[in-house]
Amino acid sequence: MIYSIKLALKSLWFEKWIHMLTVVTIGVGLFVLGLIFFSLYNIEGITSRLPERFSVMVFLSEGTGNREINQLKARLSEDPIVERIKYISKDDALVELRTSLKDAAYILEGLDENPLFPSIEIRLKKNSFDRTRVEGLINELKGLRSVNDVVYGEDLLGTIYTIRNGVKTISAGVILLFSMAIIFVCYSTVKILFYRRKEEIEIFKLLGATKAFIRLPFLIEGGTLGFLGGLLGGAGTYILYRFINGLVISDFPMLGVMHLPLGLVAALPAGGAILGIIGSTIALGRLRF
Amino acid sequence: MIGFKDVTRIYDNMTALRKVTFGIEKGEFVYITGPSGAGKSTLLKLIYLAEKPDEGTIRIAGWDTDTLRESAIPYLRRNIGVVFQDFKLLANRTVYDNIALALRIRGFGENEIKGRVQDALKLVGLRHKTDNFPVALSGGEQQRITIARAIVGEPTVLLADEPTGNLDVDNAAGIMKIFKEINARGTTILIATHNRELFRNTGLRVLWFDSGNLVADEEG
Repeated sequence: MIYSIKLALKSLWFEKWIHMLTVVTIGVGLFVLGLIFFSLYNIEGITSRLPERFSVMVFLSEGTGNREINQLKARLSEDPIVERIKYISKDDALVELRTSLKDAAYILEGLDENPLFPSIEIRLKKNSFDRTRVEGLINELKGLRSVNDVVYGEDLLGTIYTIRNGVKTISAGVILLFSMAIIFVCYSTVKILFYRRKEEIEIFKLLGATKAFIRLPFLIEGGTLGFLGGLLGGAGTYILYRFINGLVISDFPMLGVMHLPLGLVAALPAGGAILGIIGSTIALGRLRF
Repeated sequence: MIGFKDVTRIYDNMTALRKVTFGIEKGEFVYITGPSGAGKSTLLKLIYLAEKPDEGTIRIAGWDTDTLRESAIPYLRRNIGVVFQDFKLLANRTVYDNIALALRIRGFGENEIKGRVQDALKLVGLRHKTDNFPVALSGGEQQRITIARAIVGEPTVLLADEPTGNLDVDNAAGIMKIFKEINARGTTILIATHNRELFRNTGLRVLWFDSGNLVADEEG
């Protein structure tokens, strides 16, 4: 094993140019993969936080009695996904409207009676948001006689979720494509090195070397190339993350700070090593004595 | 130790060996001779399993090559030391590393490797060339390094293909002396050569080949 590691390191040094080229190519590939995972992670985070920013407005039917209103308030307060509720009476709603209209509030002067409905504003819990449960609650509310209408940013959220799912599907394809490309780069490099050392390998075989003894240095080499490529890709991803984070904070503060999980940065060299070993294994194929 | 029974080897339409049968006992010193194309090298290749017979069976050190699994070939080869006609030394490794390779392949530790390589170099008289690269050695010295590499693992059989082919008389005599010393330690030796002077009046066994046929089995 120690000798195989020495052989691999020796080869990495002697063939440094081809290895550097391979590491950079793998690094670029893994950088793209890092970006995809980083984007997916943050899209998931942002989209899961979006519902927190929408409140559910429950407009009550005209003539709903205090008993029914109190029953509904009690029901909503007990719901595990509800953070808090606020009852807005017809009068309060008019005051709010008047306030929001500011100088244009005079248009309300001609009204004989208050046309607004009493309503309940629901704020959802931040950390336990579950789209299915929110939809379940809305449907339940819509079915009540005391409820005239429920307004929620469903369409906008639906669009966002559709986009998110589309991005996920495309990302899966790109991840597969780039993983295959990295395997192919390692495969090509190890194949070239194997042919360059063909004579040496023949001598190894004649001296009684096992397949494992012959293969191990190449597998270590492939794994090391992938690992170094992963370090490069990870470094690139981290630098870009710092850059994007600064940009997001200044230009899109509503999206909040984006996150780069440490596990992802660590996974790139590990993933690179695995892809490198896969490529090397395919390149070595079946050795014959 | 080595047994050939009706062994035939055919390359395309040319028969390199035809129905060859013979046996070699442990510790024997045997010459294989004949003109170019007689099948000498083919015979050695069959023994160290670089090739397979088209017909017949070969037994080496208790292993039947017919039923031998591919994964067992390296272990059989470790019982056979080979001195190749073209040396097959690694140009980018020192003398020490070339010889040590045979032991590293066998999984020896570095301390034992060091001792064994020094012993093998002492036997071939090249201890002072440990750190040289093959390119800096003469043909005779390269041949000795090949012998050192072949015997360092203490194989039970040593094969040599034209070991004195490119050497002057003095170097050839030196090489043959080394082979006799190795044989005296109990190693079975087979030397393929077309040089009759090597075995003339030695009293050693000689297998004569011609056009792939074993034509004589006699004392030299």
